[in-house]
Amino acid sequence: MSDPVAILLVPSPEHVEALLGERPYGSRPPRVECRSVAGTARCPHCKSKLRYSPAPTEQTSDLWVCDACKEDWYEEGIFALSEHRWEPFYGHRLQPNRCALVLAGENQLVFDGLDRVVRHFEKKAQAAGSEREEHNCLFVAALIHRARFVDLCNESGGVSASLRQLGSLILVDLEGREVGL
Amino acid sequence: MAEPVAILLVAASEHGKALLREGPCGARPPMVVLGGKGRDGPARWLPRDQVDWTTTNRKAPLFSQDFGQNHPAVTALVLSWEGENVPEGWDRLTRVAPKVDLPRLNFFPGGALACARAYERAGFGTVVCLGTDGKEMPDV
Repeated sequence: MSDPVAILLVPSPEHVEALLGERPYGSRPPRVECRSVAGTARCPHCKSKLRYSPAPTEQTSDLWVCDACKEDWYEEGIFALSEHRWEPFYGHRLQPNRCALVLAGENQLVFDGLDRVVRHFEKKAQAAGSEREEHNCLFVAALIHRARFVDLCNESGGVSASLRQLGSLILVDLEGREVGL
Repeated sequence: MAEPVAILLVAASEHGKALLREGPCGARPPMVVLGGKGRDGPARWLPRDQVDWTTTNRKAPLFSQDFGQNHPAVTALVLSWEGENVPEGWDRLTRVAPKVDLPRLNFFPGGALACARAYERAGFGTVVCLGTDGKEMPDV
């Protein structure tokens, strides 16, 4: 099994915009997207291998072309029939369960990603209904702010547990494949 | 005196790469660019997506991902916008200067402008304040 080099947070649908959304002035967090691997995607109709055709602009979508059926497929249509990898995401359309925040990469913390989580917990503290809830959110924010790489890797630790409140944590190897601990 | 509605930091040349650098996987700090809206419009500090990038020089690197760090004189880190602090801008500033004994906004009683001035005095860049009309306020 390959060694994990990156830690990703796949947000629950209610946290997608807060954790992955672009802010005014083009500010955006480090994001990756789970994509079909070229050469492994197959046509849902005839099972032929599909040809990848990148989107001409940021506003349009990539296509997967079946040269046998002469049909074009969006990623959603062929996703279940292909192998997947996590790759850097530069698009605009955030898809729940398919987009993730990068918390660590190349065995180092990625502060741009962690800061987004810290700020999210601080906002939750401001909107908290009770003093106890507010303290909890601020405590978690401080915990994540001081987190080290090993804290994120420790599956039973407080940092990982806090991050799981927002979604699921996954580890990926150098090629973007999901790997277990 | 009128309060600024936006506080920007134009990075000093030696800090431009760190302050305006694009991070991994498309991470980008909050940045505005000194540009015009249309050929005859006056140059203003505008969010990147509002700048008219029309150019007759096809080789101009205006669309490059690392535009900010390659053109620090016309790119500014946003610390406050429309009267609100922009946390991502302060995060980037404090991450770049972690070892320096400089104030953190959360613990600084003087407010965002005074805090930004402390980084200016430390040589990180020049603070630019914008008024409600979007114009620079030189006397703030």
